[in-house]
Amino acid sequence: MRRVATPERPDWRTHAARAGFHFHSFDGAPYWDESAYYAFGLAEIEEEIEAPSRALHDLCLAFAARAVEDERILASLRIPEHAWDAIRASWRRGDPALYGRLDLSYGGTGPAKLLEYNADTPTALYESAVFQWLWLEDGLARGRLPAGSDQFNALHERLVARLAAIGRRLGTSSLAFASFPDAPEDRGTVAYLQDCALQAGLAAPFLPVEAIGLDGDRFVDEAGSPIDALFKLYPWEWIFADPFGRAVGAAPTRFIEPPWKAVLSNKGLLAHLWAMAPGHPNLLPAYFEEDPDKAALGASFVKKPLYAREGANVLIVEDGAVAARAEGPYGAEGFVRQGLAPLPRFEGRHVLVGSWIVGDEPAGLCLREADGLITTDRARFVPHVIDP
Amino acid sequence: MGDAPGRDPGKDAEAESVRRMKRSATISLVLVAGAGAAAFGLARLDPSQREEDALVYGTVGACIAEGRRKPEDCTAAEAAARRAYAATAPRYETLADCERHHGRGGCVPGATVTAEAQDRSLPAMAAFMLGPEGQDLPAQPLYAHAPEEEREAQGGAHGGSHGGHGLGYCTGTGARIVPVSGSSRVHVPSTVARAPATAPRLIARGGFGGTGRAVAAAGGHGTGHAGGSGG
Repeated sequence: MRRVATPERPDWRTHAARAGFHFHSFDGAPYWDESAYYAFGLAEIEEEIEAPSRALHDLCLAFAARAVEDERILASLRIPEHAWDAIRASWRRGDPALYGRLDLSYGGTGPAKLLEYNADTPTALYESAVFQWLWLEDGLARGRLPAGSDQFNALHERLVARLAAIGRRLGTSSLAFASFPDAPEDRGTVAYLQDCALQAGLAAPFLPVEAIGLDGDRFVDEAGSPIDALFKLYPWEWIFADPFGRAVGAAPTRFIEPPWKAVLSNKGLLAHLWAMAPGHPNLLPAYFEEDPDKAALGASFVKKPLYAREGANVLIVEDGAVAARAEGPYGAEGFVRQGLAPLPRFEGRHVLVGSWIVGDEPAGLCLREADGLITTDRARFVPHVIDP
Repeated sequence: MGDAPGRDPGKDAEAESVRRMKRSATISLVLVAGAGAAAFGLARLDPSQREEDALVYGTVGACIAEGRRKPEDCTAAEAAARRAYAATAPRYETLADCERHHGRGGCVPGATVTAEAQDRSLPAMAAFMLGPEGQDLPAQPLYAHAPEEEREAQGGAHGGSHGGHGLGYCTGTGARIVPVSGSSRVHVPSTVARAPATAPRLIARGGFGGTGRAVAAAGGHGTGHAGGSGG
């Protein structure tokens, strides 16, 4: 794994506009950054990222099977009791999942370590699946990249195939998509998934999350028609805290991601996985903050809120001193403490490896660079190649 | 993991002599790169349903004038629909919620219809539906169907204060009824024609999103680009 500095294409913003990539910058700073790329060997991809990702996802499914049936686990994750039946029922029915992203600490030396599983509402999908792929193809066509370079990125094909399978599994020809309409990154992610759904043969109407109606025990769209299947880029913990959250269990609507994903998209997962598989090469030791065993971590650890996103409210302690801290609105539900696996540094940048899962299979990579130890929403997306 | 979200089959079984590519073979974007997400607007279709013929009239007079049914049948059907209207019209919590679906001027205060619907907003009864001669369909009240976003999609020309003819009607169960221009005859799925609403629907909105908005407001940066939900 190497970081290769390279001049950015002078016309990449034109390419972005043509490809519908409108959130490539954030607060005036670039989010898409092609002034460098990461190059991997095929064995690094297949043996050190892809295979461990499959193993970690399988372990997570084994945990989910246990968690949905164990009220002590659900309580430890601070999932409200009124949601337990909906979560359990969705697992027992086998409600299908679409995708997720495992965030790994990996720098080409030593095994990848799981930092968290964005199993419910991951973004960075479109730029991973499409714009990163277009960058590679353009680089190959212009001779800017070595001939025969490849990329771990089957996301687009897998998403279309998985959405078609979900349509068949749920017996529906329509999948509605909901998010906040005024959050460009969310809307862009959902627009891309709508596109994939259309290519999978499904009708894919958009619905602002606040426009969803409740008609008796049925969720309805803006015209009052029942919603059979709904993709929501709006996390389960927020749904469960909203007034309509209590209606999820009795409603015939099927959700993507399904309610059982709530047990994975929770940092409490990390403590439970470590208890299930202590010493697993791809796990870091982790404990709930209330657990006295956390002392085993010593003076270097990361404290993370059970519910949070984009690195908010994360605290890193190294040798007893605060090494980094991110502000944010989370933490009311409690924290986990995880062993410290500092993100590898390449030319002063900290890089985080995001490993995509579509259905149950690893499907591609995204790499994000941050100036500090914590990867926040200020991180930059950097493309990658597999060496020829 | 039992029958839960199963592993997809379809891992390449074929032995390949060349190195297997790790990336998608092709990528096509239908909408993202084209007209944009605003191009959506796909109607629900259920081809498995049987259809019935029915008649739709705005007034008793229109029914009698057309002469497809006897005057006393028109009068009886309108009266039955009006009785059903008070008992089964959808109830909305606010006038704004009601007008969002039924158009400006398409709603009335519940108290003017029935005491039981006090403090609610109800769509006005815009028309009634009955079966053709010899076909025994229950008479039903119909409401203007003019959801905000569909009105916008049609350029805002229809569905205003004159009853929603541009977008047609909906029944108390929420089914769409779309008359052909200038005709009283409609084709209606059997389930809609034979099973009118028997109880009012109370439609609530806005029950999702509040928690996310509150978190975004409390967190500023750190909740995703521009206050989103992703991670």
